[in-house]
Amino acid sequence: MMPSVGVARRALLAEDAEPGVFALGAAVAGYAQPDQRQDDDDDDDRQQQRDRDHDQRRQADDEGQRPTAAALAAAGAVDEVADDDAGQRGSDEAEHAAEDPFQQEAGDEADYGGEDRHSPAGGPVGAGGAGEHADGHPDSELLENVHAPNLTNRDGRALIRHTWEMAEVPEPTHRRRSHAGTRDLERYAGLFAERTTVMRSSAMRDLMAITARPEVISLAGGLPDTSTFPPQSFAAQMTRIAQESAAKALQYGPTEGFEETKDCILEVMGAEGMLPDPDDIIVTTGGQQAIDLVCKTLIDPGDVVICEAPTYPGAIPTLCSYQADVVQVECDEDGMQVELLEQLLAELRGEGRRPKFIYSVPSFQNPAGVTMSLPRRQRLVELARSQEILVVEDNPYGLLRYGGEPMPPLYQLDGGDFVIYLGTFSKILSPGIRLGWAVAPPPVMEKIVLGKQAADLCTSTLTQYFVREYFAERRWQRYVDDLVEIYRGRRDTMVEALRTYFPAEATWTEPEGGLFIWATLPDYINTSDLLAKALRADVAFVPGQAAYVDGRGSHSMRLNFSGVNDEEIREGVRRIGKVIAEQVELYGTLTGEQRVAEPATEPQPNVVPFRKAEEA
Amino acid sequence: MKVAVLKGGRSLERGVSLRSGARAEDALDRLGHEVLAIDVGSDLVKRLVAERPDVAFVAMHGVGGEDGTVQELLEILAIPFTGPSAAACARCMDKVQAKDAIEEAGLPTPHWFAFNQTAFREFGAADALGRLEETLGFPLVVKPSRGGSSLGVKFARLPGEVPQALVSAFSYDDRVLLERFVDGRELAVSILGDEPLPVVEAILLGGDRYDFEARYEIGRTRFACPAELSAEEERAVTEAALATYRALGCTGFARIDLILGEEGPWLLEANAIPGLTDTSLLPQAAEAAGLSFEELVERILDLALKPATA
Repeated sequence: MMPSVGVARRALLAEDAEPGVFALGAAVAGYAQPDQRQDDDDDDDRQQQRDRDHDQRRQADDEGQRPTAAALAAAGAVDEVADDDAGQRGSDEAEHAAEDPFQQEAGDEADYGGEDRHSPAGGPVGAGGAGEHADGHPDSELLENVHAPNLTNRDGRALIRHTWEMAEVPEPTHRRRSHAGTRDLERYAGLFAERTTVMRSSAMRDLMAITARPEVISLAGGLPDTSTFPPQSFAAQMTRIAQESAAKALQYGPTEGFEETKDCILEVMGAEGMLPDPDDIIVTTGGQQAIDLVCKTLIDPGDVVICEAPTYPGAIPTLCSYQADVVQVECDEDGMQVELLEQLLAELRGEGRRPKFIYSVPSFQNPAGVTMSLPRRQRLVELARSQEILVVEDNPYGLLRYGGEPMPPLYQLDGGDFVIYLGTFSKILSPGIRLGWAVAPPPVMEKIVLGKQAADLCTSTLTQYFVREYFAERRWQRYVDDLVEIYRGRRDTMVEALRTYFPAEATWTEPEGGLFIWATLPDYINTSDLLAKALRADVAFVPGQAAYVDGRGSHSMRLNFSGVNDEEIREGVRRIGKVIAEQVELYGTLTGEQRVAEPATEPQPNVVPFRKAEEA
Repeated sequence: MKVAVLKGGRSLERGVSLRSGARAEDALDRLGHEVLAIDVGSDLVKRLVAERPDVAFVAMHGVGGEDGTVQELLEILAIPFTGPSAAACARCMDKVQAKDAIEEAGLPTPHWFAFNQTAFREFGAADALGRLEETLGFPLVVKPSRGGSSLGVKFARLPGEVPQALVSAFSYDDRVLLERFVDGRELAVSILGDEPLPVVEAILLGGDRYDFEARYEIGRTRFACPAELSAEEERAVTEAALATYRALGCTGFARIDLILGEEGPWLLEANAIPGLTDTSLLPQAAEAAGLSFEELVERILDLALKPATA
């Protein structure tokens, strides 16, 4: 009996201080040392102390690593599609984090042996820690204890500062080298799942890696503008959390998310006329995880999933990693052409294939900027119901409307029987808090919750607390209004710039909301190749091919207007217009038809038509 | 030994280069070297002068790092470096120069014509297109003269597709070439020092064989190493590759791409600094030859330091 109790206790202790990953590490360590598990109670106590100490060191290590991972990611991450290199590094860091507990096991055991000899009375940790709490900073306990054995003369504050200084010193080379062994991909190649072969990057994705250069005006991003969020308000909310709810905000939370977070979600959905049952909601780590969880729940390899053409570029890797057979249905200025969808569904039925779901961004679509018309929405919902197919409505931008009349979400039209709804705080508050959600019928939700549990147990409690504080101030709608004002201006600037600088043969959508404009060029211009030329002029966009699974979209580009200021928008569009004009002129020279690459003199002709010719 | 790993830079292949570099750094570290990682920028010379590495490991691809520019600087600073010399890099990078050298050496390379933009803009070269299309036949291949990977390479199946392909190719370079399409198996021979490594074959898995980009897309191409070749084919292919390597003046390593047609091998181009990522062909070929990645890196380093005995 004794051994298993020992293991369980240690695992439990580990979990008290740190995430589940480490509990596993401690348990493994226990099994690896059968003789220790037979120890008497005293030894067991000491072991607990070691484990606690161990956990805290581990935590300190994490602190040290995090800025590096973040910096590396930030250095390259322009967009959800953009930077492969950052992605690579990000995952490398993740790899290290995952392997760390095991790697450190051996080294730390040796350390403990040494400590034990010098501190028979339970070690200096407890003694030093207790004495230093007089400064009234109970929250510093963890960090303090990490260094206490070495730094008994310092007070808690100094230690905290010291820890942060450590964290901020960039030592990427050194840090990476200490983990060199874990990066050795070829040693693991034989172990990789088959799905990783479809997770490889393309040359175009590599090209996007260099859009992160500081001198490049990037219209390739998809970033909301977080610069107007008042820092004082952020500080006050976080302080309030620290003062009033520190223990809870630092603790695990329910897998489904806090009820209070769901209340905030109900407010946001209510603003668009939706009234879901809170039990149908799960809080996720960003909207992206919601997509992932839906895929995880519904897709077997080879299953058909229907998307719009073009579709959200960030959904493609997710769908591919679950080995879905993605079929895309053309959009026009009124969104997905539901008539074509009907034909497709009939064809698939003929082949005996039933699509698992239809993924749509009906409002201010990413990347096309178009919005599905009401008749199409109604028809889509009818189709879903009559054929019992799920529709996954991804609605990150619904509240960012700059003109026109609000459109009922599919979820509202359907009542939530065949529509799974995905939402996010990313575009109305902050993408950095990584808070999104999914709403699904109970049987589906049950599976999604299991998937979420397996993925990450729960969404960050800290940021859920932040959202709750933020919504308590009852100003969230005003902030959205502010964003709408800013983005409306930027959209207008971009449309104006397109009229001024793009050649007459180009067309583009004029979105009533959202973050993107989709521009289509003459069919002899390939936008992936054009990007190479544009990058020499220090400007970037997302080539249209990123929004298709089959290489289409090569004459189009996605332009973002939310993450750049008016001046950058004008200059960026001017530079792109210039490289396009050069290509148009060159083509004229090559074909003998002299084309004059001048911008349209008529103010209106290029707006909206979502070139159907492109699909020929 | 202090080894500076040069990577990144501003080229279009920055992403691949960073991955090649990171992988080389890890291997060098495991081999016990002192690694100095440099993402190449305007402070390159300053850093090299200050740090005085014993040798530079060049893991850069594309313009700037693979075209002899960085190599020239290293030669001036008298820092030994991996891979071919500045002159050889410049020759390999420019497909027109490379093909000239290959042809001069009496080696078969598909017939081609090269143009710069001025020829079209100012001298009406478009009027000559018809004639050369007749000579080359269809489909033909349009490539930027200097450009890495498959960037900007297009097939034209019909005369009407040529202008469009040219517009794409001119996005990467001011000079492009139109090349006769040769049908056959696509092979790559990596050479290390003076030794050809096992041949790699790129096998297209369905899809449009004339859609060049698709070939590099997800799951479209499978690489077989060693390629299934008869002893005779293998000899012909490796000899042609070695002769090309020498004709271009390569040292250290390079990868020669060629097509094995019915009449034998056709040389296409040489990559002075092939990728070193986990999916790159040179490491795959080395592995097929029984060399681990560390051994490959060590050998590359040896070749840089002792070119004479290599």
